Amino acid sequence: MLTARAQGDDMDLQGTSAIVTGASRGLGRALAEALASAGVKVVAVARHEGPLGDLVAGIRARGGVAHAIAADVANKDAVHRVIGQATALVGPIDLAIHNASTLGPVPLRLLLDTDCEDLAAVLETNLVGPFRMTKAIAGQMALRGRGTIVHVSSDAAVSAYPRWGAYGVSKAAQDHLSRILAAELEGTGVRVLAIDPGEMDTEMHAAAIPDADRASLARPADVAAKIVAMIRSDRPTGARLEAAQW
Amino acid sequence: MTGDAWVAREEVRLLVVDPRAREVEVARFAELPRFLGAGDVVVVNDAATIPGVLRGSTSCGAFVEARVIETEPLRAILFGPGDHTIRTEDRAPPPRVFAGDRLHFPGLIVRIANVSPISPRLVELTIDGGATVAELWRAIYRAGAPIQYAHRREPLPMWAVQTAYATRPWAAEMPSAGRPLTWEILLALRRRGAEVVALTHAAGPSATGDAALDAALPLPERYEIPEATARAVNAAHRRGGRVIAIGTTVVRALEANATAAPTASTKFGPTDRVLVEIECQAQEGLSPQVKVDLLNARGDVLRTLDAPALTDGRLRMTLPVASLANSTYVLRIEAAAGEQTAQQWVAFRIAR
Repeated sequence: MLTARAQGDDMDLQGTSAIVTGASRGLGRALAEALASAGVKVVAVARHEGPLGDLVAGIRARGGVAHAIAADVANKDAVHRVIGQATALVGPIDLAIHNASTLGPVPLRLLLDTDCEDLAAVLETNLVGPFRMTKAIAGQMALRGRGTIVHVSSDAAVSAYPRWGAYGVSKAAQDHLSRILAAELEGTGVRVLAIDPGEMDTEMHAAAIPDADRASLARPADVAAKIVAMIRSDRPTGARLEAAQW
Repeated sequence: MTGDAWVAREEVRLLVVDPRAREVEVARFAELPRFLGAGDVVVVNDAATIPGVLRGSTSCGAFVEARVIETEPLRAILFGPGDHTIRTEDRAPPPRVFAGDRLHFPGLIVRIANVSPISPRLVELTIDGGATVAELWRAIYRAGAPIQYAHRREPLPMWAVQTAYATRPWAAEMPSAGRPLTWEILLALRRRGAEVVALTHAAGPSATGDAALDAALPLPERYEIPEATARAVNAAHRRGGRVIAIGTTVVRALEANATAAPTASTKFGPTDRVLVEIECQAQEGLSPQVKVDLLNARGDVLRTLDAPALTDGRLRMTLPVASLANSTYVLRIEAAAGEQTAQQWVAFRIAR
């Protein structure tokens, strides 16, 4: 079987526009930096302004284009404000990466010990937020006949790990959101991908598994580079890709 | 709260007039694909709606509401105290402002660049204190609300004023003819072989509360027609297909482009002055009277310019373009001498 690399990095990202959520740290931050290095105009979204400021300043210092928008993707009222502002700043959006997500309260608990409100809050951030944002972006992509939407998934979407209930349910649902969107948008030129980045050395991972051997975990920058390559590849819409297999 | 509390978008009624069959039918938007097919081109305005209503104050502390109607250049319509629950025509006039005055809004300070001669409510603004365009957008999206009118009391949420394909925020008010177009409808149109293409037109406000200003609407509105859209429209015309403009903003953009674009390839920047020189000869003994009007691309007279006297049968005048928005304009020069009249048009485009 051909590897994705052999299939070619045929998509030039230079000059395109992207929005990345959860961009203040971890994989989101690494993705924003990797995309900016590839010549993409990046809109970085996260709840807190401070860390975004450093990110944007860093990208600009290297000659890239980046803007920060402080917003919570789980906030319904924020969605059109984020997308409208992003489009005003960098033009029509070519790539949306739904990376922001929450584990819910840590330490992680058994489902029977999980408060209903906590499950709902996890779904709001990890599933409903990306869904709303896609509603505000995929239409402009479909009209122009091009665009890529990426859902950052997890192996917890596929495997049933005890204590990862709320997160796992939200990621499994997000994978299916990805597949159904892909089916509905077939033929429009809008590609929808779910990408499992694998285990990375991030604050989120440390919160979930505090005693993990950090040396065994992938660096977010390396994973981000792989994800950018996946986006540039011609993998078809609806695909679920794993960084560990790339 | 649901997205649209009244009628589902695709349930909006659609009046279908078939001039060839001399038939009129009342349908629903959901049925639009039934009336269209291969060879037809549907053109939508993909402008997103700016949440352009900002509430702030003058430097003296007087309340002022600014409705941002265009961002390049930055123009706004000002109102005094009150909110959207008061009918626009009953709204208090804004505090008197002059060029150079500052207006303070949450996260944004602007300076009045000029006040329109048409109405003291219409002002051109510049961002103050070295702030960037990005900061202007941030302030608008943090604090702004969509323009709305008194028939609905509850504040309009952002999603209620966006079409299903809203892209760049250029519109002061929603290009609302496209509001009923769901993706169910748009994809069905494409399945039937109709093309769905877009242009972007900065739809302006529908009311300003000032009779003189209302009479001048629509103000010059910028638009952009992508190459692919122009090609699709021209091809449809050539093969006798139908071009369905979703709303008057699309009609305005297409018509302006069709009539003025071929001669309007000259671009001017904001600091340029357009020099107009026209030869104007009349029969001996008669002295021509010359009148020069500035028209928008639709042919509406924006203002009558002071035409200087002829010198050796030539008229020379300069037109500062700093106060003109990005758009296509036409100068109409009319000369009359006795029974004789002559008319000439010059089209030009402002692009910054």
